[in-house]
Amino acid sequence: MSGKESLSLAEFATAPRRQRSPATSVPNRVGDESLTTPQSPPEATTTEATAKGAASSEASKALRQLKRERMKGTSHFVNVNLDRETKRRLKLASFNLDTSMQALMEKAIRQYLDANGF
Amino acid sequence: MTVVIAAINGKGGAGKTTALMNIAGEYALRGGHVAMIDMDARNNLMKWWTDCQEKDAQPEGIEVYSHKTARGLERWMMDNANAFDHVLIDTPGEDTSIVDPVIAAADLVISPIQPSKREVLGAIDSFENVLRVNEALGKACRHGVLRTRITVTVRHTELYRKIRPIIEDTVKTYLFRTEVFERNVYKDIHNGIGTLQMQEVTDAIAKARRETQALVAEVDQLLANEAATGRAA
Repeated sequence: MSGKESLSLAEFATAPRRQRSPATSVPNRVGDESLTTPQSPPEATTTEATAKGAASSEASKALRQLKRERMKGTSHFVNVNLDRETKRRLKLASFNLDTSMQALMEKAIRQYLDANGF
Repeated sequence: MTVVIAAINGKGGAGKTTALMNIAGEYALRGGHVAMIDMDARNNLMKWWTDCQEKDAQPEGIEVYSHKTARGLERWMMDNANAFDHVLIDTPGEDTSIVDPVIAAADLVISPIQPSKREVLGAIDSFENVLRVNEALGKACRHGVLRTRITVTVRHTELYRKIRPIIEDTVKTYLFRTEVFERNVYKDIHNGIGTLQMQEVTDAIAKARRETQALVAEVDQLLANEAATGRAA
């Protein structure tokens, strides 16, 4: 898009609008699908139908998998009750280490879980 | 041969319908025979089409159909697709398994994104869906990410700058060089005044037209490359 140099309006043709023929009223296309549905399927389609069913369940399985993957990245919260003294120490540590209390707690919890083989 | 292009992004409002309407208008203006298929339950495309009909502003060379099911789409593709040069499929702005049959039918999937994290993630999901369907069916459907609704201010955001490295280097899919800017005319068109190409050419329209021409040229090039490389993605 480096259009500045030649912005002449004449170079663009205008598209024609459709001529409305008065005799044929255009049927609403929304109906198309339901109109064709009642045709009974031939017998031979059963294997094809199961294959199709498998394909669509494959698709929804992939979709579920995708949603699960997305959940992995998100945060999950725990609420911790601390006494005043522990909280003060935590706050002091986070201040001195120039990090957040959240980061310290995360690290401490991971360390504990790893050390105890959970 | 019929070319099938689908717009897919699991996030709504990314500009799927608008992009397809503009592309359809361009192909129709060139004399092509274009079918648009609305698979979105919100019916944006079909509403536009009926509004156009009310205002006597339906474009020449475009037909719009509505199919809400995979079977409906498959049946339509089998019976009617050959009658058209281009088939453009609009999909719902949500995560749904209906995109699988759409990808199965498509030669190119365009994922429009605004520079927002959720939409970039949506586009990445779409790309992964394309890869999955390609692998399952042995197809070589192409995928491209299109930046839409771009404004001057948004171009200064950090995420905007990150889009190219994320899409091209990390995700490794195609990023359209053409950007679709936020323009009033794109909003106006949704009120049923026909396609962009039917509007009287003013300076503002000319910019939109140039943008659309560049986009369609890029789409054509992408599809031509595909043919040249023997559909090896």
